[in-house]
Amino acid sequence: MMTLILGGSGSGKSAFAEEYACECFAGESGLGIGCAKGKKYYIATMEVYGEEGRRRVERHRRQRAGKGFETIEQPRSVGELRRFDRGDTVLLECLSNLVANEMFVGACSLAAETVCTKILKEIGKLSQEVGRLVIVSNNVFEDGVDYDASTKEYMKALGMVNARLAQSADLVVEVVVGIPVVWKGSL
Amino acid sequence: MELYVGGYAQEKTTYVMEMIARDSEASKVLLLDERDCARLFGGDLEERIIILQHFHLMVQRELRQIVPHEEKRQQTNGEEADLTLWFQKLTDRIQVWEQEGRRVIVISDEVGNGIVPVDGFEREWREWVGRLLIRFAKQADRVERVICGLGQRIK
Repeated sequence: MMTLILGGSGSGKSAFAEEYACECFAGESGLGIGCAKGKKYYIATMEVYGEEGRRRVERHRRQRAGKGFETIEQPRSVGELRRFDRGDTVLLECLSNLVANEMFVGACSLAAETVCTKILKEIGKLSQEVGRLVIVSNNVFEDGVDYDASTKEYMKALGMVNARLAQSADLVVEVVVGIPVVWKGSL
Repeated sequence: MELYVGGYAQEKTTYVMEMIARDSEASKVLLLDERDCARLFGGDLEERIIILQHFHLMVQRELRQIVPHEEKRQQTNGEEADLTLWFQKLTDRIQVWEQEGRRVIVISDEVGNGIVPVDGFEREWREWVGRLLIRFAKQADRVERVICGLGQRIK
């Protein structure tokens, strides 16, 4: 099962995704669908820079505290993680950071297609390995600003990744002012 | 309380006004925006319907008062500005209006659906608009999202 959760900044997408991942986890272990009771993982893709970044991580940690997630910091190459099994629920947050981290390596920046292909392959692998994969992504597309070429390339990459994942996801939810709006599947 | 959100120029206020007219309420409507923040906490109002328009700009105005410029932020060790008190005051006021039998409507642009801005104030503003709209949405009896002058009820 793969779920894609989208939203803008401050939309409440993280809080919703955590709650949803916890519900999935509780539901699946309650059903006893033949796999050993797994674990809940949180893959954090943000690379932390500066005071504001630290505050942000701190806020998210507080928000997650007590929900039983094991946190894995993996700013790129999520396909290299080898510890999951079919009973696990994995929350991957967030694609906007993952795409940026894969795209901008040192002074170089890779093409949108290259980044998109790598990420889709790795997420595809991840979704085969775990019971439930919940992916958080960001809507960065609606401010109408004419950005520089590299930002546009980034937006193109994130847009492609979002669209391809939405195709293979069982459920696609957009979070608006904290309220889930279902685009595909049903909650 | 009712909340209406959507992008810029999506005719949210027109949508709300038409809805009020359809509800055939002959009541007077008071439209308050970011220039009327002082009136929010002012004296008695005669209108039965109160619309807080441009909520995102009210937030911007309040945030500017707390964080006028970057130098001041550095003096406060880079701590986040806190609009919690202002918001509490606002929601208390809304509650009083509702207890007086008034219909309260909040309208706001959605401002979080873009590239995260380089400017710290801009980032903080977007975050606060988002967070406060989530709180409004939790309290609201009705939440709609307006696109092209059309409403989608999400609560």
